[in-house]
Amino acid sequence: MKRSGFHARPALPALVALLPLFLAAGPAPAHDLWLESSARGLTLYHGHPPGLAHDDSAPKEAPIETVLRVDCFGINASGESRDSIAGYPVDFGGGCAAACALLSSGYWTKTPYGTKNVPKNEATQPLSSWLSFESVKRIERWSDAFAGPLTADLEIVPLHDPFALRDGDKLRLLVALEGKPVPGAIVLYDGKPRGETDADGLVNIRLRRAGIQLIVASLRTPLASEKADETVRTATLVFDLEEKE
Amino acid sequence: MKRLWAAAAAIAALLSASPPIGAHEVDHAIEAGEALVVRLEYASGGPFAYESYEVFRPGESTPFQVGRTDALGRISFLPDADGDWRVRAFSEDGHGTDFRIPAAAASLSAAQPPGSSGRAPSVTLGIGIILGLFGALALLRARRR
Repeated sequence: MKRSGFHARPALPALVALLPLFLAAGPAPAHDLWLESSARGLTLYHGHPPGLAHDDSAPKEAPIETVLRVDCFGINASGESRDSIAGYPVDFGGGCAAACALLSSGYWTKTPYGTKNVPKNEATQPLSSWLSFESVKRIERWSDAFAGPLTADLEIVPLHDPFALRDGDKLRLLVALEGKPVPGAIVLYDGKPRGETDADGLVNIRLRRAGIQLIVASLRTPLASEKADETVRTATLVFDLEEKE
Repeated sequence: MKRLWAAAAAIAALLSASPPIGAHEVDHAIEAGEALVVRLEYASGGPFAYESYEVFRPGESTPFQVGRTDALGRISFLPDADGDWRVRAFSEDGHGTDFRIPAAAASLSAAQPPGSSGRAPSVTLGIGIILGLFGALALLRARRR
């Protein structure tokens, strides 16, 4: 995308000098969704993690009413689930080697007056609409059992141990829905599109730094409903990469 | 006759002192200027259309301009000061961006002065009525003599 401006007098030298500055105008990423774990349990946040924020907004706990399920997986991928939560942190009575959460913020409709959290049939001048599902997976420790999907949600699966990688290494990923590969899913890293899954649902992502890693995949599918035109699923993979010498 | 003069003077004063716009009226002026245009897209593609934005002068916390991006996801504004202008754009579903643009103050030239749409004709009409009244009075006085 050419992120630049234009005006009524294209020949004006002052504006020509400013054009490179417009290139810095970034895309509009969504708020990130990520899980943090502590001795007391799991907390689901949305906003932007410390160190990755592009604005001055502080991360917030994701509203508990949007949480549809939280899973805790042991090192052998055996899981324990909660269909609803009363608050944070969610205590599973022990550490999770991997944890997943599924949320839905419901129906959204784009209108000339902004994007509204209502179904299409309740909006004024609807332009486009979707039902939103967000899934997030945090891996704390690697197990070969995590080299496959853990849930039926849209999920990003690392095919090898991500903790063995260094800044600059490539990570091979599978994007799956209901356990099946998803071709054509757009994959973002640090809020920017880095690739699209191939026919087998696979994509390589180069890690660009140490610290918390957020990899996001999204998938839009048509929805035959008076409430929305599409289902939009977004999956986030979170892991913390130690800085290595 | 003195009363008539006083009434006429009062009407003239009211018309000349009328504010630039009436209670519900807004005048407009057309100016030519060099706008900065910023185009926003979702990270996954597509224009960031019809969403809220704020533009701040360098170092200020009160927005210089607020509004919604257009159907193509664009924001245009005319800086009136040099420096780093801050642009924030955000949607209710959590998308957003916040960045700064180093910019120079834009110059404006008036292609059409303000008030041309409403106030000037009403003042001219008022003065015309007053002059007409005086003319009619002068005619009556001349006939009586």
